[in-house]
Amino acid sequence: MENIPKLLDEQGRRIDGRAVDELRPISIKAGVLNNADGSAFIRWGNNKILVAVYGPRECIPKHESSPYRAQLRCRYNMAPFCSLAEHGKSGPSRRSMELSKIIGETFEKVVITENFPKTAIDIFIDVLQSDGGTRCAAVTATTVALADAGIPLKDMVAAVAVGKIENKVVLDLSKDEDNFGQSDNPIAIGVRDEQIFLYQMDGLLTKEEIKEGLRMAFAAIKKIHSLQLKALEENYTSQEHQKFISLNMPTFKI
Amino acid sequence: MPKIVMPGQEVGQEQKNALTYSDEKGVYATVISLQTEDGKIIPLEGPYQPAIDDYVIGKISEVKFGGYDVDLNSPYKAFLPVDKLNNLNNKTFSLGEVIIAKIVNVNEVRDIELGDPRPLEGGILVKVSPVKIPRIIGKKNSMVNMISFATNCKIYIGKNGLIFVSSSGDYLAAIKAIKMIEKQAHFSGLTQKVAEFLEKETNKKIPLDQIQQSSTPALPAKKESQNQKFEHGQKRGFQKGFNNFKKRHFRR
Repeated sequence: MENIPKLLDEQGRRIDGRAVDELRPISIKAGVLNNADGSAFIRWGNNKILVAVYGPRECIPKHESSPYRAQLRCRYNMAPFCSLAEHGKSGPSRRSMELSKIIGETFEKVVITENFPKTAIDIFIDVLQSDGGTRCAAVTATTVALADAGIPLKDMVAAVAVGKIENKVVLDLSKDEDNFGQSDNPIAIGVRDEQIFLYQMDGLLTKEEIKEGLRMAFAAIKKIHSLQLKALEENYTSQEHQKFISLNMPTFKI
Repeated sequence: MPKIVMPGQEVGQEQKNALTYSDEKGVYATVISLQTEDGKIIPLEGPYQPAIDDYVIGKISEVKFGGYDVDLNSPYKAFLPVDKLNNLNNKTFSLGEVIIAKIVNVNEVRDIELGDPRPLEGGILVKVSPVKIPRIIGKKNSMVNMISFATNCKIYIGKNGLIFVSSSGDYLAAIKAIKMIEKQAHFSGLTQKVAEFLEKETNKKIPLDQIQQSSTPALPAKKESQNQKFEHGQKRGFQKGFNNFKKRHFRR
């Protein structure tokens, strides 16, 4: 840790030139995979994440199924080529197990699983390129993929991280700010009634700093939510969608 | 003008049904859906939820002791008991055969029981989103009747999102029309658009006001089976097994 980069310059700009309460550029596209029931692709700064939702489908193994609700299963995975070695490795690891668990638990509170007894809903999250804040981007994209699959949701969830670098509270930390900063807090928020579904804290913040961070996060969530809505609406309004004759018609002969 | 509503969006106070979620503050949509001017909610995405009296198309996926398992292209498998085969004159199904059948019973854990099975032969199955099926059927079957009138195809619709198009006519045009309706289901004035499309594809004039309307869905005719009736002691397969079972357990 000899060469700690200067995270904030004299004008209060960050490494990538953002202001303290500025998001990285985000773009979301829904329905990118043909064979999945719902899917989404998100670019969040340098993060690129693909989310596929399958289901509700038959729950295998059978002993995991419940007669009362659908089982929600989530798998977060980093591609072997997604980043430099220090920021997360591919394959099953402590980190990917933790992220699968927390993202799955976030959506267990949102998806109305009682509508589909005895089934399973599978969420597959694949990080193709990572640059810090992948869990927030993944939660944001998974909401879009679930909505695209037609799975009933009580609310739409969006997530963003707040943290502290050089004693200042900042929004949406990148990889360097996460590694060399003082604190990183990913927060997932239900958009409609501003319910907090996920709050993780890495490093410490004072009470005032948390309040300041939450204020920033709630403002940012509104922007992210509008992008989610845009991504979903595009599937129904874009010109491309109205061209109806597709070459890959799923038919088979009897 | 109907508008598209997204999950979590408020849809008014009275719209409490299976597609909405309500708390003390209001009623919200749960899936991407279309809200019409009178407040009705029509889903645009979603899986098939089985309901009694629906006609569904499925594939025999397992031959069991007392009947057949049918794969319905939905999360839930259906069961077709042998005693519901009476109208087919002792016909037996084999693995992979495609049938259209009526849902007789669904319980709270979505065990589906089928009845009135009719085998489907000589055509193509088209897979569409189950929530778009009402649009493909049209008002009083007008849309599907128009497609079969224009293309001379027999079209049987399963509510679970599988559509059977017989290969007797211009089935490619029929499939294209079905796919077009699926993609543009949320637009108004679809009948006119589809009619224009079919006129172009088939070079046939479609008199919109002469298209037949019917309140019941089109179904294949009940065909008399070629299988001969088996005499006692000659019965095969599960029937033989069932007789042995009866002998063993109900001797008294």
